[in-house]
Amino acid sequence: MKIATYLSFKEKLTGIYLEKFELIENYGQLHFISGKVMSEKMMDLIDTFLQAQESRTPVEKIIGSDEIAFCKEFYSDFSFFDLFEGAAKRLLPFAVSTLILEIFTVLCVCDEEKFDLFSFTDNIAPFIFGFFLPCIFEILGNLSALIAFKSGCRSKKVFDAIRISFHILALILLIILIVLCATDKLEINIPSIYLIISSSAFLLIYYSITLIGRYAKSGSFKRQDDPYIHSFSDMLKEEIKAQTQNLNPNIVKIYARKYRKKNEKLLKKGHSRLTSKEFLDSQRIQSRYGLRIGIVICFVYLTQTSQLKAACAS
Amino acid sequence: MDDTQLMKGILEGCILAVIARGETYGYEILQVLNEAGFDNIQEGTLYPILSRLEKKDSILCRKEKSPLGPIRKYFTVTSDGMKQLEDFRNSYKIITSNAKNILFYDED
Repeated sequence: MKIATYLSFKEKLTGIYLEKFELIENYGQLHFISGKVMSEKMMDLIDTFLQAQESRTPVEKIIGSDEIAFCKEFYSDFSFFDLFEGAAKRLLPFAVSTLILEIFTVLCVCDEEKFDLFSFTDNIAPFIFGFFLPCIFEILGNLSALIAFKSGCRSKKVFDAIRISFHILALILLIILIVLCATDKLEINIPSIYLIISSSAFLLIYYSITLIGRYAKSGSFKRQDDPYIHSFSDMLKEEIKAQTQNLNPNIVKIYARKYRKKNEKLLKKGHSRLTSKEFLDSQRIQSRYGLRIGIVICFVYLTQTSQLKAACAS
Repeated sequence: MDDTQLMKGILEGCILAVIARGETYGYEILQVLNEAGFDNIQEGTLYPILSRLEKKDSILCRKEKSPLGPIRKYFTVTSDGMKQLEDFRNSYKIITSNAKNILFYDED
């Protein structure tokens, strides 16, 4: 399992170094910088901070006296393209499942004698509210936390509390809307052909841009795996070997416990133990696909149940 | 008078010159610049410049695990980068010579 994480090294920072590092990290998160870009930037910075801490170099030599000016400069090469790339990736499983299901439904339910694509409609209310509502509340939560940051607040607990409260509001609203959609009290019906066209267009644009971007960056259309992403298995091996609390202890302890319990169950059933590599590979697959499959299943259930029933019946 | 713009103009050339001395990394570049008297250079200024140089193919980046654990980027200059450095040095000599003639006219 490979994780691009600087978090395990952040545990080694103390005092003013940790405080300033977290300030820079919070600034990035509040400005919607996340994922691979954030991880790479923080990995660059953590090495410098660790060296400064070890050599007792004052932190002002690294970031200067104006922390906010430093943050603006540090994140200056983060573009809106990076932001939209992250958002587009979230939409990808929905676009793929929508396209497959709509084509399947149209082919199964369509009456060959009266072929009219515009006669099929879909209720997209669950999708609009289920996807965009949490996004909007996440943005509002982030912006509120950003206002607190600009007012001088530097406490991560305050930012987290603000964001969590918006997430809770979104969840309550979502539950109400799901009930309304499931009982057909809330409907926004559009012809299925529009969904087919928009999903196809989205996928075409997304993959075109991704492939062009890959080729421009590395001269190849194939995805280039970064061999220096810090391996979780390396972390686990180091922790077991060193028996220390140097690395992020919580994540490693959780996985070590899961590994132990998994093997106890296997041994009880008379199976052989998993090696640490086999266990970590299975965890990687689960974490990569499990959540996506769960979300898509919910999405499909809410939007496609009636169509699928009709398709199966015909 | 604010010397920020002046600093920005020459910093890219200076960073390229530091990298041209031999393979190096961010913290080491900062230290060399600080020792040379550039006290106001921070990583925030350094990394956008390194990113720009890399995009222009003036420098190459290699990743390796550092002694302290995190992945560290090591930079080396390319042949294009050496040419760019040479051009910068020539331009710098001409500009500073011309500026000196005007700025320190009374001292002659």
